[in-house]
Amino acid sequence: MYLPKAFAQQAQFQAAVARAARSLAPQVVSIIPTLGDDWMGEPSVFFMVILADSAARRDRLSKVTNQVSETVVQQVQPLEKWGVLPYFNFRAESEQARLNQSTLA
Amino acid sequence: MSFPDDLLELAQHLADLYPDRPHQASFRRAVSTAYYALFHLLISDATANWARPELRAMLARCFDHGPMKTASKATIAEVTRVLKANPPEGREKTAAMHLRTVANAFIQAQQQRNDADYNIAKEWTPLEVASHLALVSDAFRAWKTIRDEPDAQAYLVLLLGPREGRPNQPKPSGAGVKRKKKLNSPGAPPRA
Repeated sequence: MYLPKAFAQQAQFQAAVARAARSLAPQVVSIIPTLGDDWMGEPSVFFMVILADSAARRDRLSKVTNQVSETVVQQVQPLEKWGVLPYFNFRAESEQARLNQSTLA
Repeated sequence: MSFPDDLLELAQHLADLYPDRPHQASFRRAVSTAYYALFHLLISDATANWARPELRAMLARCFDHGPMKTASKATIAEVTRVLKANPPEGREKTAAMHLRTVANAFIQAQQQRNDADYNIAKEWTPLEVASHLALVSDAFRAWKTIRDEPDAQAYLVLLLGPREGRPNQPKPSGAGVKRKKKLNSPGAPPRA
């Protein structure tokens, strides 16, 4: 069975993602990659991108999210280098903090 | 407005339904509806090429989510390869970038639709929903710019599915020769 490199070398993959996240600061607070399968069973990485609240303004949301996803795809090359199809989700820092609080409560 | 445009507007309406106290149900329906807006936009343009209008709805049923994802992934790979070669600025390069926007939005929206409809463990936030709707809206704008370009039209055909496994595909010449020999064999039992 074929095991994508992202699964076999998770630490290195996470380090590559962290490097991309740092290059996108201060707009991007963090990028949390989760490895798994998409709805068709294809090996995938689900990026949860936490945006700074100042970067999460609705009037420039499309521009920011496009820029972030393009940078991550170019720098990390999830499919070409690591064998996983990239998916992106974006949350604001305040939204993520609220969700973390409700999980802890 | 067309049906896909109506769906996209409905998705936005659902997302904004409870601004003070967002509901997970309306968020989920918004995300799912946005995917179907793009799904139907592409299918309606593909079937519009069919000369007989009365058969377009039947043709539309031939499109399926899985092959459409596969075609979108292949299109992104091809466009990326072309763009890596640094083509000159111009109409073709712009069209390629728009096509990548559409194909990528299709793949992303499809997965989000699956999560919205089936993954009840996931909690959606207003920004997550807004970013997905923005992605699909961008894809609508991109598609309307390139819908008549040759590569966009080829993408519509690819969305029907891969050539492999289709009935009536020409077989490799060797296979045909073997079969003919067997049928002509005088000692062969009659076929049922």
